[in-house]
Amino acid sequence: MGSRKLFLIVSVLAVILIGGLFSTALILANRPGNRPKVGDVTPDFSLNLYKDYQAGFGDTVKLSDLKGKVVIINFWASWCEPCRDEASDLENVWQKYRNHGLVVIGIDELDTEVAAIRYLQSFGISYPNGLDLQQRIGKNQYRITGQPETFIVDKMGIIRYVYLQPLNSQVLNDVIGKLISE
Amino acid sequence: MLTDLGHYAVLIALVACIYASIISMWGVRVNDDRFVQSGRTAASLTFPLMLMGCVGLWVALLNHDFGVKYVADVSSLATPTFFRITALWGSQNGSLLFWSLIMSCFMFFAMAREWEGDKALLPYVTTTMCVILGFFIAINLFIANPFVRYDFPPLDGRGLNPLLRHPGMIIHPPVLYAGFTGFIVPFAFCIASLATRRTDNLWLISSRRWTLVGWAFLMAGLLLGGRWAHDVLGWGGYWGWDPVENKSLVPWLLGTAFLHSAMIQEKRGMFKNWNVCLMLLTFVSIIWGTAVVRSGVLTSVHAFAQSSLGPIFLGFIIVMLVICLSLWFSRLDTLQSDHKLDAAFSREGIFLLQNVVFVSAALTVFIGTTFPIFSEAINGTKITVGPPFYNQTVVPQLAILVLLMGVAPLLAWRKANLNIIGKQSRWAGVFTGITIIVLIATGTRQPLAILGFALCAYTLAQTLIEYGRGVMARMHNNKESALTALLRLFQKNQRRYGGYLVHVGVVLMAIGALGKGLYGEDVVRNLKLNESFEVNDYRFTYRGLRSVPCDFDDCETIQAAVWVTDLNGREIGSVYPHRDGYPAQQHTATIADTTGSLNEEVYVILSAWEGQGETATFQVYINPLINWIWIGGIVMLLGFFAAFWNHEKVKEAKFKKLSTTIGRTIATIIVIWLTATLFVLPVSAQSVDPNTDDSTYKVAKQLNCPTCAGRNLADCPTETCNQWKSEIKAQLEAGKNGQEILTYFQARFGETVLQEPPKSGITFILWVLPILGAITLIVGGIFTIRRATHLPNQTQAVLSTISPKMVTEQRFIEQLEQQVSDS
Repeated sequence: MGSRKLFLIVSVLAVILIGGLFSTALILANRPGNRPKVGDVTPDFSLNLYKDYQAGFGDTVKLSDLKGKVVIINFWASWCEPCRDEASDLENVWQKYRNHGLVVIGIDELDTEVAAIRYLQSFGISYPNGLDLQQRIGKNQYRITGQPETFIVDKMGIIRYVYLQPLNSQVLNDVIGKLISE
Repeated sequence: MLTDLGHYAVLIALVACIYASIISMWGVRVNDDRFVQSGRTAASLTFPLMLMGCVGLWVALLNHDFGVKYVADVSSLATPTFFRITALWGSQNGSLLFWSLIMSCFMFFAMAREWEGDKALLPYVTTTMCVILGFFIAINLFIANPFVRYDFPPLDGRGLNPLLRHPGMIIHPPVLYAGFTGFIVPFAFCIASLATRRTDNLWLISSRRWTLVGWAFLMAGLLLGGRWAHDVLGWGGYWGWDPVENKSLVPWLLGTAFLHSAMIQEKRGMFKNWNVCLMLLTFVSIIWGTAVVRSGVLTSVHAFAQSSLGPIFLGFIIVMLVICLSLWFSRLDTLQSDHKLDAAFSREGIFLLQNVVFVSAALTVFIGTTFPIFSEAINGTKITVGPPFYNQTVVPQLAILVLLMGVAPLLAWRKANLNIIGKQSRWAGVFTGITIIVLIATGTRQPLAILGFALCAYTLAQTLIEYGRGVMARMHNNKESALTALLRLFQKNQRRYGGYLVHVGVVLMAIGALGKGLYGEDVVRNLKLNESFEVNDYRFTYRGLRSVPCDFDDCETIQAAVWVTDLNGREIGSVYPHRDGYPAQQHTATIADTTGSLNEEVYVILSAWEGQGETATFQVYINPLINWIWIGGIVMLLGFFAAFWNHEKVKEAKFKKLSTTIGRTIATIIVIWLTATLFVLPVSAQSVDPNTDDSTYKVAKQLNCPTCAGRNLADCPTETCNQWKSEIKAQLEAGKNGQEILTYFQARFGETVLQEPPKSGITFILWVLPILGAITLIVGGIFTIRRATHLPNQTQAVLSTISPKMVTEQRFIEQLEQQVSDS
């Protein structure tokens, strides 16, 4: 009967293992809780920047090095139509506040470099931009569900606003003005 | 009003399920048949009640009752009546209701059968089926309720997705659901036999025909699904190893294994334990498949939206597994074989091997399908497991099965003799040799093609020779004409010869799959008006673009005319691929057109055009032998009918004769209907970016679309995909080769973008698991054989004295005995 007992143990273990993995997957697939939300400390990342879009930060920009500054983290892609609506407004707010402690970081998702550079040039963008390699930032850390998606982080590194839609200059100016003066 | 009545009917059906399962068990406890009969009646009642529920929803759909949320989601004022009827299974909630309806229908007929020798099983069968049906009805009522109403009804609904306006939608889901739910009957019998400790052949015999029905519906559903994929997805193929396809394939493979090993138990009283396990596994895999698709954990071309069903299904599967396992374990002592395996080299032995391969293939498909879930659970990335994985792992196993199919009928029960097999397979061997010579002489050089076709030739010849042998024996013994002998052969031993017909169908399908897989061509070309291009032996000439009336009221059609000739200019046919625009839904459907011969399909898609049609882009697929897949499928279904028809009962009474005639007529209509549907379905497709040329297309085929899950980059029309394709094109022009480009994309976007998961890192597990599984199964098989082949020396000695001639005679006597016992 020894082999039977062994068989039972193995099958029970298999059921537990498969069930466990399956449930973990289910929980992960439906986890809204893991998304960074307003009030959370922003997940840290470093982004490799496109050559002409480094804005003096060097090859990479690391979020944790930007403590004390207000940061706009904007996820976009050149094939994303709604992103085009907010592109020049983002550039304008960057120009307006860049010397008052604002950093705008453009994180490019699932894009090809040629198309991305063409997009950036067409909107005259100068703030730091780079490709999200293997979607580590967008998919794994910020769990974005589409583009554009924008996280605004205050000087303490706390997420204060999350937008799942294109932004306009009025909202940007109000919010950034307020956060800068804090 | 009627809709609300339907809602209440479903509620009562749930109550009936609960009542039936409790009262049946109570009947067992107090040993009073009246309670059991009451449970039986209540269980039968669920079918009319579920029917009322569906009628309620149909009434709402037909009356444009947009107050019902489901109606507003899947239909609109413009939806034609016909599609308002099929909209019942057009979305999650309604299709679950329909699923329960079909399940209750099977239960109804199972309850209505004559319970005589197997009456002891009845209460357990009732309870098992009612618990499972009750689970689905409860989900329908409390989580995915199609009867929910809006407080303020909208004026018009959203309308049915144009992609679902395909004739395949009429028949594909109901057939597939019937396949899944049909297995509930043998499963319930299996559980009942375990519970009552009556683990002899009773449950197998009682549920035999139900298993066949479920299996055949599943088969037909898979076939229609393949045909549908061929038609609507516009990629010229028939099977894409999509999760939704896979989850139907797994129970089919397990069910097929069961059908075979059940025969061993009936004949020799062996494999009892194995059969029980297979049946339990088959049904659990059905629930698993349903859970996977409906919970949204896996993304697929036709998965339902993300929903909260996942954890509930998971819980149900775990509870089911625990109950099945503990029941099975506590009954292990009753699951001993009546006989020992006399020799590994015997019919029984090869059936065991074949079963191992079936289960191993099912396991491989299961691993591939669920791996994305596990990889996400382990390291957060959802790896995509595409066709390359399955082609390298599952296809070889299927090839082994084709070979076994040819060899198995030659092996005698108990102990086979190699000399006899050699003698009996010489004609098939000759035929195979001729096939190989003809293949090489006609210019076939691919070793894989020669091997594959030779395998098919051998198995086909061997199967046909089996028929020939049977017919000749009858002609000789009974002095019958050849045709009568053939018909009698089917009649006297319907399962055996029906089964062989299924085997013929499988070989035909394998031939089709080989042709398409090894010799299929696809090219994309941009043409000016009246310009031509050539692919293989075909010349395509673009003759113009025009507007024609559309099939539906709410669309517009642009049609291209292309003449297809051979290289000498002799006409083969004209094709009119077209594109239908649905302005209201902002959707376009690209409909392919086909020509060619029985042996080679030419499949043309209008991808794009400029101006008034000055230039147009076409995508052409040459699909050699693909039609044999559909023909093989129909042969398989015919084989099922040959095996299923009950000839013995015809003699009993006149009215039974009448009912059989009616049954046959219906069955024939279904076959004709299925056949017609397979061939008449219009062909529609997604469009392809005009900038794509062949080499770009070939690289793109090896990548996944990043934004629309489960789709190939090459066939995906979104802006993102077009950009990626331009990038591939640019890199190709810069002199990079395909592999370098794939590496580039992998580095930038992760392993998820590759169609073929790399054999390293986490995905290494994916490649290793099926091998481990196969090894475990083989070791287990050998262990079983070794343990069971322990023969007393005396028998061994007697056996060794039997000469080949005697064995031949013995086999003949066995066959005669069998025929006598069958008639």
